[in-house]
Amino acid sequence: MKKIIEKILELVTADYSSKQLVLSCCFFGLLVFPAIQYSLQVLPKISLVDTPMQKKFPVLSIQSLLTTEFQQKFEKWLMHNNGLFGWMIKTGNSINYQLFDIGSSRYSSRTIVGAQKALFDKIYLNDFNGKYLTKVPDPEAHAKLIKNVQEGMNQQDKAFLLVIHPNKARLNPNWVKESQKVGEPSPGYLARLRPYLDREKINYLVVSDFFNPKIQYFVKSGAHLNNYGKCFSAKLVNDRLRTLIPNADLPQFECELNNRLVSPQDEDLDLANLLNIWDYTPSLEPVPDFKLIVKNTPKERLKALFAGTSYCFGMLSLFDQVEAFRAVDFLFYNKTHYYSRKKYTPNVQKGKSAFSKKLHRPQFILNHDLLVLESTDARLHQLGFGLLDSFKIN
Amino acid sequence: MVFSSFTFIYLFLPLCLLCYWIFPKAKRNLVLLAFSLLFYFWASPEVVFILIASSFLDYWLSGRFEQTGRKAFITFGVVFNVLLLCYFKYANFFVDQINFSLESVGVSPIGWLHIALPAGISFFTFEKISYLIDVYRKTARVAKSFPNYLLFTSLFPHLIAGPILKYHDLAEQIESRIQKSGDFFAGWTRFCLGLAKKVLIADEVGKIADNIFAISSSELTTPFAWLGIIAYSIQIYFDFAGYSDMAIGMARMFGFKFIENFNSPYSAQSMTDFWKRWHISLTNWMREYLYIPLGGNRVNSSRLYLNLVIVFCASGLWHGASWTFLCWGLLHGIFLIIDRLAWLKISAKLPKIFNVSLTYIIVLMTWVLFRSENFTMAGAYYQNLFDFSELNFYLANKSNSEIIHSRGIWALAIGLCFSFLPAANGFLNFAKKFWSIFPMKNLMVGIASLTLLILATLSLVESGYSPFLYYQF
Repeated sequence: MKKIIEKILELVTADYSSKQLVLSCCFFGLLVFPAIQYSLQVLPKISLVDTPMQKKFPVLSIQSLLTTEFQQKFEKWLMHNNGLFGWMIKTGNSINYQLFDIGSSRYSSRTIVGAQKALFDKIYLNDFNGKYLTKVPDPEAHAKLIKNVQEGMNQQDKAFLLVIHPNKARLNPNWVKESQKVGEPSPGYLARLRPYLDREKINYLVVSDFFNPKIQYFVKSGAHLNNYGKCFSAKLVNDRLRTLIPNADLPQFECELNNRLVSPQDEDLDLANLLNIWDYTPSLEPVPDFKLIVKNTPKERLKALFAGTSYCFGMLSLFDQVEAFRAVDFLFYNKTHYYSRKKYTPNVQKGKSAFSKKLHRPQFILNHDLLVLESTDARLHQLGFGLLDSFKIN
Repeated sequence: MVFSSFTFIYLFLPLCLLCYWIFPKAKRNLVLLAFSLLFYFWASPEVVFILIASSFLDYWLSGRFEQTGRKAFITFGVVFNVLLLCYFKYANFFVDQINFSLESVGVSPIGWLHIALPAGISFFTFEKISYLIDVYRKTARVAKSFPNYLLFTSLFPHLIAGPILKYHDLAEQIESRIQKSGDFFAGWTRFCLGLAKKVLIADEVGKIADNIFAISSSELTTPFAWLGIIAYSIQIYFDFAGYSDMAIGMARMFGFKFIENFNSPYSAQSMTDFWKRWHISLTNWMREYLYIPLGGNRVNSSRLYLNLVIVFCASGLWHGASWTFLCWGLLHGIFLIIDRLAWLKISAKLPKIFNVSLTYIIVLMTWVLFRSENFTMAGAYYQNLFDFSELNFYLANKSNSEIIHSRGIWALAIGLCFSFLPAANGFLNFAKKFWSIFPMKNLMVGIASLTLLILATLSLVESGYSPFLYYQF
């Protein structure tokens, strides 16, 4: 230890100008700071949204060293586990956001900063630019496949409803930067499919058809409809279900705007949180406030099956609030099974993380009183995510 | 482990510096040797033993040459090193060519397991050859000890991507070097500058080039094709020059002085001038160990032109085992011949801006070959560059923001400014005068360097692992 101190003194008293010495110490201090942080936790850990913070220390063996597998994993481990990872990512992203108006320097990033700091999940911009039109199925055959499910349900006196949620970019083209557009906005797959949905007499609901152009149903900081939009969408679905199954006991509710604006909350901030920046607040815009007025809660509740995208979470949350169903199953992207079995749970509970194959069987679907098949405009070509193919009733 | 990795900057480098300072001066070379071998072991664990064994062979052969005076020892050493390089770098290429020929005449191909290219083999093989030839020419004495020689071949700042050092340039520094006051400061500030060049400019601009080169030729428009190759030119310059700055800076931290490797190459007024400014250490090596032994300038014109072609073809092949690299080298050789034939005299009468622009455009054209995987790809790209029927910045299936975003534009603009401003008349003088009146220079340089280090770290953490372009050579 004495030797080390002597050496440091030797370095300190060497023929450096004082400024050079101080700056050189700062440089060395910066180099060793991650090690100090790792061992002493000088700064609190900053967690990141949707980013795994802790990586396991890689297994060290002669084999893993010789194949450089250990080296590669160790470098990633050190980057993630030095205790400054959250600080560095948030600061780096904030610089990108504030100085360069981008969410990340990576071109593959899924969270995109549009015009007026509106945020998008990349798939909606891709759909807006018509990128999925090369991947869409034949609309006529697709409509027949949907028709098959509807008929299967109807034969058993069950209801079927196809709900299509809008693409935020298509609804707000002024939120898309010119540099993010590929020519004119694409009308999307819905424009192609819709005539066939009409021809096959499919019960479908395009939520944006009912939007009032003076009201904002989306929020710049979120991927989904804002809270009012969610309520509006749930009410539309509920009203349509009431006409489809007139004898069923379904709730009656209204989403009444109160001409006030409130700060976006919770899910309205999902994309802003995904940006992982220090402060998105200056870019936040208020959203319409509303009051949920429940006129009637059902007594003989139905058992409902929802299948679709994350937009369903908003709807299901509303249906829980109005105590619409006695049980709900939700097939999220046809991969994850969420369910609600208690009488009036405030939230749909997550069930099996891996969707079990047996649930694909028509019996499972027919075990419900109604099926709401949901999709966003951008994902319509993937409607059901495999559910339609597995639904064969003979 | 590359210099621009978190592990290197925040673990390896501080540990190495700390050990270097703690140990007494007499042991410092051993500390550097241990860290250098660890550095190489981390990147190419199996090849480190080949590096040690082949270095020992060089050392033994040079010793035997000194004792006996027999040229055969040196010849054997040089041939062995060349064969080693050929095996690791060119065997795959040769076997592929033979198999292609065999298949075209209906013969079944040779079974061959592709060999992975060890990091930095092209660089350290040239350095090892320089030692043997220096000893033969008596421009340097046999290394005092094997560890000293191994330190020359494996010294981590230059091991992976140069500058290519000649033994006689470094021999004395290894045996005894005096660390002057200010060396450490000059070293780390240079290191930070290099890191910023690599991470903040080259990596950012490289993404633009990658995005554009990934577009199919049927979709690529002419302006984007030009943008792509300009972005690549800035990427390759800032990537390699950044690495060289880091290497020179780190060496300086340990008291070594490496030669400069770049001198504003895109300000060159001719291709001859370009090669005096681009990868200077390779040019010097080629001149000293290939061009001059071939006869240099003291031969008749036709032989001189042939020598130029040989040297530049070798330079092309040194960069990579493919026909496109060979063709790249050949083109450079041809342009140097054109310079010697008449162009240097003609261009002396032309405006500087014209000469600089023309040289840059020629360099850009050759970069197309350098960047392309094969002639088909290069041909299609040349077609895109000169198809003036598609003069728009709109792509059929991609938005502009998927190709270049504002950060990329800034990086490209800064890269272009730093590449071409030195060519502006009086700019360097103005910069020097401006700098001379600036107060507190050390403080300014130090704070700017620390800021660059922080910004580069934030960027490299965000974008993750980014290997150096010149690793592949």
